[in-house]
Amino acid sequence: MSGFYVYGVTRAGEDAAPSRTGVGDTPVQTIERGPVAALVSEVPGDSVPGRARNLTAHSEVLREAMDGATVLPMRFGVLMPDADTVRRDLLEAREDWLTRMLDALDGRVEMTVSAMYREEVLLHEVVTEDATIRTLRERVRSKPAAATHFERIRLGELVAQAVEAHRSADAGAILDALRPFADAYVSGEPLHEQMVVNASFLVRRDRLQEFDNTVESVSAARADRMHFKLTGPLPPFSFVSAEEAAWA
Amino acid sequence: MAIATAQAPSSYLSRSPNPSGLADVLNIILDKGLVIDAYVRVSLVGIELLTIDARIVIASVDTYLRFAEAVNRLDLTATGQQQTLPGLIEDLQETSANKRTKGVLEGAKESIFGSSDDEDEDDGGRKTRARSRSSSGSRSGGSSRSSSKS
Repeated sequence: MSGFYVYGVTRAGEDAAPSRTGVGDTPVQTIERGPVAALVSEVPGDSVPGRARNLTAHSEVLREAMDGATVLPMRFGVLMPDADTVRRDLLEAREDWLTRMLDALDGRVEMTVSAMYREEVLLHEVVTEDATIRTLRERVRSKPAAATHFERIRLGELVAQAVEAHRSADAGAILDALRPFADAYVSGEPLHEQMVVNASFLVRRDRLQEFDNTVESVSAARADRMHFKLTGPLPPFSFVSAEEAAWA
Repeated sequence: MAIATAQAPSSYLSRSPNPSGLADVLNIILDKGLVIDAYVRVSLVGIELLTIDARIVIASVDTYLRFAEAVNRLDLTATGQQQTLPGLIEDLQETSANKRTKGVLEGAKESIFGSSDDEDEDDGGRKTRARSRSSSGSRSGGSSRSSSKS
């Protein structure tokens, strides 16, 4: 058994299939129907393993495709049994919605911004700002570790709360500074305790330089406390509706 | 694109045109994009566990103990905040940013995909389940700060 792995949807006639191979090391093809087209590659078997190589192939095919076209990315792992099903269940059944989404995302890309605290600087702030934490810290330090298990948990909890308060204030200020340069944004959960911001912005290509300059100044202003990472331009992964129910 | 690569690297901002490494790819594409439920044909068990694992970690006793240990080690007597900069920053970029990411995400990556990319898939799935039961144990493996944990 084999099937068509679906990367995303573009307008018909844009010929967005990249030269690189895709999931399963097979060539990427275009299936067109009416005004829309699907980027697919034929893969053996009836499921796609969630492997590093396949995730990367999915991401890279879409990233190359977006150079010459507006692309609506599919979620990783969509596999349809044959080309007719791609035409019927994806391109024909959802043509109106796909066309509208392509128009809405035309000329726009996703930029992701993450920021991480420099932990010792942050903890230094937390301890010097909070008398309760400072006192508890001294008490814990004056006793052997074995005698302070619960006090250490309490200390860590207070520190975690203080870190959370810092994070909330810092994240708000960063998002406020970047938001004006984007059409939309999504702020994700921090992935671990040092992460300040983990956000995606939908940015018009003609505003990318402005957006980049702003990330530069926002990060420079916080250079002593954080390290920033800016990734993109990416296909608008975070700005297409993920749920089938929302396709109506 | 030129915009993302034109500037010199700085100590406070890294730019990359594409997701760098698996942790980045996961963060950027996981659970995102259009989906037609009837046609999702992928075994994502391990990946879902990764996201759960990464998100519950912030409010755990494990985190509290690590924070407690980190503030206990802080040297407050040195000349205040200036002392921590800028020499410390270089150091922190290694230890704090990179290593912590590595600790959480890379440990998970190994458990999902196996240490070798060519490993058998079924084996990768079993490893993931095993790891999710002992997540605090394998997390400390990625951190140099685990030494005083009991």
